[in-house]
Amino acid sequence: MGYVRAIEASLAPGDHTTVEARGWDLLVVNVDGDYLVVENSCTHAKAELSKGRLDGSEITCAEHGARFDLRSGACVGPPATQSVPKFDARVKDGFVEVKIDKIKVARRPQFGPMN
Amino acid sequence: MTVYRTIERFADPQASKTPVQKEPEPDLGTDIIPKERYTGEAFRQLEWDHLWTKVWQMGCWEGDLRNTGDYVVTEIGNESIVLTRDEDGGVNAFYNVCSHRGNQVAYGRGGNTRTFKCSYHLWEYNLKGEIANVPDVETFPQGVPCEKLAIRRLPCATWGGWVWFSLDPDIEPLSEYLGIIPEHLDPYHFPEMTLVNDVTVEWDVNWKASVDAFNETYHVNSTHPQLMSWLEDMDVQIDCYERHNRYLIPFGCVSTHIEDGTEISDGMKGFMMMNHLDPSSFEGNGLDVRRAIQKNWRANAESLGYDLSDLNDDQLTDDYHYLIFPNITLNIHATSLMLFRQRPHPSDPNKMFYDLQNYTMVPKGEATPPRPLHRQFKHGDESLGEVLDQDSRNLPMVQRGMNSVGYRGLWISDQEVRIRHFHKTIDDYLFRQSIKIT
Repeated sequence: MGYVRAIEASLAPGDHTTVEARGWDLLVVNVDGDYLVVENSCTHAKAELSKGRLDGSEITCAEHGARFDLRSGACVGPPATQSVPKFDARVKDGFVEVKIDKIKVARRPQFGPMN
Repeated sequence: MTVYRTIERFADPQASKTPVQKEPEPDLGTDIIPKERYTGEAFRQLEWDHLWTKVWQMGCWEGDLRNTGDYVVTEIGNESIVLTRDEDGGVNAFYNVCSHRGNQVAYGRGGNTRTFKCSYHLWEYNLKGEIANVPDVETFPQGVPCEKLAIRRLPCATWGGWVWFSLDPDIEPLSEYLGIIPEHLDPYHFPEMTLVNDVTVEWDVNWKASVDAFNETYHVNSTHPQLMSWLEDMDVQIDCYERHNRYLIPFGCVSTHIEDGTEISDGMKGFMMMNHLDPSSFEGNGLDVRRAIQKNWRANAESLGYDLSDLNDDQLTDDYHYLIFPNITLNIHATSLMLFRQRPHPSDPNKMFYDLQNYTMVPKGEATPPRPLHRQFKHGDESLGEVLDQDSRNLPMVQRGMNSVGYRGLWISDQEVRIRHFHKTIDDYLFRQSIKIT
């Protein structure tokens, strides 16, 4: 599938925005001129990472303080343990394009309250 | 953590068919539970000799043995067991082994057949495991005595919509072994439910650590933070019986650990919709949801195609969560059931098989869905749903920790007393049997 056009490449360094693409809720951040893109969902309790605090390329979730490195998606602070899905991005023709290989499909049907 | 409220319980215990009274707190001490129980080869062998070969085990869903000739092959430890429905309507269990040279006689996971034919020399057995045909029978000078060469049968019985077997030929009847379980759970009418999900996951953890993971709600706040907005994790009634145990987890309420209980989260809305209560037109707050769902079921169950008249009000929302010793965990709701069966690895105490099945009550007038295909995969290869993924993520790390020199054993809280009771019952089997003079 490859790259999909996400936003205009007009964010100032240190700014961020959110966008939906191919079923994914994405957080797009300009870190020192690089556009970094991760899923906008903390892997601990699903809070929106866009509400968190940015420090360089590291974001701290506003809900319980989990920390992620936006350059790799890696979890670098508890209580989360899993890395957040990270997407390659490039600037082309004035737009940020994000590489999304898999559409995020709606959850499979529920069998009961717990799964 | 601060507790801000208590949970209102079902008002009239006498009116409930499923007993709801709190059992006296068991006195099980406060000792460390040694980690070697989860890691040691010696303990694994003790369990095989005195537990797995001495208990009743759930073999399969009875829906898989509906017709004459239906059979299921199930495995426990190194044993492969055949379960069948015979021409007389009875259920049978026998070892999956040919009396001639030891080959297996039933292949795959199950199906329908008139006889089992060994692939080696075509010895043939009927649905009760009796000899049906032996090729070139005249070449056995010692004869082929049918009685002696029938496949060894095992005790086999049904309850709850499942076929049970035991590797112990002298075991007590199933009804006696189950004890309080049928009285408690028959009101749910499990045999009328339908299997809708059937998977086996290979987990790198001891089978008991997996049982433990579901028998306390102490981990909800940390492992499942998203559940705190729609179920209770603290005010949970725990009851220990002779060998089985349960807890009753209130659903449809904000955790009493959360100060403001009025919020209706997306998770709560999902639970409401699953229970046919429309969150968009609901006028109460989070403190009202549990009773509102119960009232809604009482008013509308019949028109929705369900008969829930044997259940008490709390059963219409809550998870009545039972452990049928040693390895069947039931998460029970009014119209659905999630079952876990933990099976030990044949040789490695650090591994196990986690069987996950979901059952649902199909409303009257609706078509029964086809039986789902069984799937087996390694932990992590497929999602089991958010909650179970969160649970299973911890377990391989737990097993590594259990094997660490730096770890002593389980330091158990009152919230985890079912784990202590489980180990006490295991001890009853392991050490009662070994000192019995026969």
